[in-house]
Amino acid sequence: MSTKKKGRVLLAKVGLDGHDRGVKVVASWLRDAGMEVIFLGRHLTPEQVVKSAIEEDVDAIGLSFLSADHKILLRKTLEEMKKHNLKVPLIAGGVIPKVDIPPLKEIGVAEVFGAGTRVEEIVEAIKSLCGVER
Amino acid sequence: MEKTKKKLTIPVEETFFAKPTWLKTWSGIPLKKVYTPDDVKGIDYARDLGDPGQFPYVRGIFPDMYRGRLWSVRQVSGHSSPRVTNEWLRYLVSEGANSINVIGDQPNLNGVDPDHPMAEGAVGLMGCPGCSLRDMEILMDGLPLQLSITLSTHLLQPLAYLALCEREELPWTQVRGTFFYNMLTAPLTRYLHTCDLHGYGMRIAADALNWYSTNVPRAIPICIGPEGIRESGATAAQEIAFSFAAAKLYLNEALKRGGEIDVIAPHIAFTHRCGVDIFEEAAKFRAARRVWAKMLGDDYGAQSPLSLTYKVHVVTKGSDLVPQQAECNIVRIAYQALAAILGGVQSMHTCSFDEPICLPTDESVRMALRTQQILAYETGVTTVADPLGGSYYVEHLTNTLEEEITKIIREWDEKDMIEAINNEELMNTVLHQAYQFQREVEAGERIVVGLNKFTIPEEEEREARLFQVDEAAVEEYIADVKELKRARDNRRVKEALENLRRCVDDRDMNCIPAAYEAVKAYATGAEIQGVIRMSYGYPYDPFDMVDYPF
Repeated sequence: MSTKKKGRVLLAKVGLDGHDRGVKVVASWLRDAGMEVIFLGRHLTPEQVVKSAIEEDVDAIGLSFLSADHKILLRKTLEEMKKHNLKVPLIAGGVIPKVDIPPLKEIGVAEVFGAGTRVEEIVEAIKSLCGVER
Repeated sequence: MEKTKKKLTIPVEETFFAKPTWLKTWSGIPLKKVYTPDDVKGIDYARDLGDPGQFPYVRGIFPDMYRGRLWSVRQVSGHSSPRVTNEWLRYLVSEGANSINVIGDQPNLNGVDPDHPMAEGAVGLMGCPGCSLRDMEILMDGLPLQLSITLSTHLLQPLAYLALCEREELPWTQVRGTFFYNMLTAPLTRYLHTCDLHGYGMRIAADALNWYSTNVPRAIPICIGPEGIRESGATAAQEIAFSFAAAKLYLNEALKRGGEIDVIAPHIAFTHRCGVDIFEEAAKFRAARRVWAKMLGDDYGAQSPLSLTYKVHVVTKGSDLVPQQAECNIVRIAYQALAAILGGVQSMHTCSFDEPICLPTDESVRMALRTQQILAYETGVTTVADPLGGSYYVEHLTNTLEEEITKIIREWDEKDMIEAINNEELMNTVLHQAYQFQREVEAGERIVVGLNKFTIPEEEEREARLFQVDEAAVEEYIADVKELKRARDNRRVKEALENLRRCVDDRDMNCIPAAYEAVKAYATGAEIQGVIRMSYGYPYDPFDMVDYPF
């Protein structure tokens, strides 16, 4: 018998940037698609995100960036995840130049969705990364 | 024998008879296929429109509008360090900008110094770093202080600017500056983490309004910019209504603290977005002028034209832009700019086409400048004031927007706006609209060229030349800040901050003069803000990571 996994996603913004329209639209879309969203809000540190992800037992973490600090903050988040042996996919979205995507994937970011990506596409990808059946 | 080419299968009839699918304004106001004299029947020219420069100023705040003066070409600027931003400003001015606009980076806007733990990786990325008078000295090095300057920054920078003017013996009466002491919209713009709006937020705003009105007569200390809402899904009417409701809160507080309406009201202006729906945006600005004039006249008894006129700086709406086929954004920005000028605004920043991807490069900002310059000198829209005046459609839409704006303001009169900002209710309302918008785009109900129609394969997308932060300059700058904190006369700073604390503790006192003295002593933005926070019972540091250093 197959059990349908619901999919718990943690969404947040790390660092000082506060532009959160994009991540909030993704959150609403994910919820409408039947996923559980733990929305931490803005101004989080990588440590706070990883701590919450473990406590909430999420299937994926999604971080949103507008202010070009994605490289340093994603690297720090991955380091923190490694330190705590947290092995869920880390997804990034927002204003991230295409040229930055391969290096980010190389350090361990699972998926990167630049600005202008259809939210439907993001949601499908997250569902798939979480192992949610269609 | 020549091979015949494969037959093209195109829906010939469908494309020949193509038509728009979205039959409302961008904000959702339903539109008829044509407007006629019937739609403007009740309008009385003298009462409802007036000539440009006449109450209620619908047709413009000056009699000659752009024929008398074009507008301020005022590009938002700032990155890496004050020295690098200084070079950028020189570049803009050499390419035709007649005003400057410096935006603080994220640490600055959040009121933390560049050496704060949360600032790591964020210094100089999305704005000019700045935490002291020394940074302002470098920023303005060699630039004439009479330049019309907008400082979209923390509360320290305008005072630092005034300190420079005092040093160079430039009378403050000659300072043309626009500043952002509007604490209310900062959280909506997603800055100023944990600002106590009811307490020190309104105190700083009201004190600034009162103090600058009398001491720096050409300054706009309160430029209300609800871009956080407008770029997050708010309608045209909501954008204006929220800002006017916020203006009322500042006016009320400043009046309570001893201000007079015709002294302070001329010192409030607005930074509004301009979207790509040409007629809705133009009508929005026209309606805003009528609403403001009536509000100041009827509700506040203002008499001076300087009080009754809605003054606005426009930033073209970034969220209308998409990264796909990014050069198309040049066209969108041109239409947005056109709408703003048809709407009679006083100042404008045009985005660069690479806005959805990165900060502007020198090439892309030059294109943004040229967009304004072509509009000003080649299109003819500046030769005649309010060219859309008398259009049945535009006058009808102006009336409709006025009704909507007024209705929303009246709703805010009955509610606690500060509470709605604090508990995110206000933001969640508009974010829901952003969600709806995204659904409509992805369902193909709203067409966005390059995104959901007339797309090209991803492999063919050319990525624009990317802007790069000068990382070496950032490192150098952070080191300079640490050195400044070590080498300045820290005893003088401590005394100035203690004096500031005393002035802020006295709730009836205007705290700006004491803040000014602290700025001159080279206190930093975080230190000044921190002292004010402590007076109101909050931790020194908004993120509670750093202690008061004295």
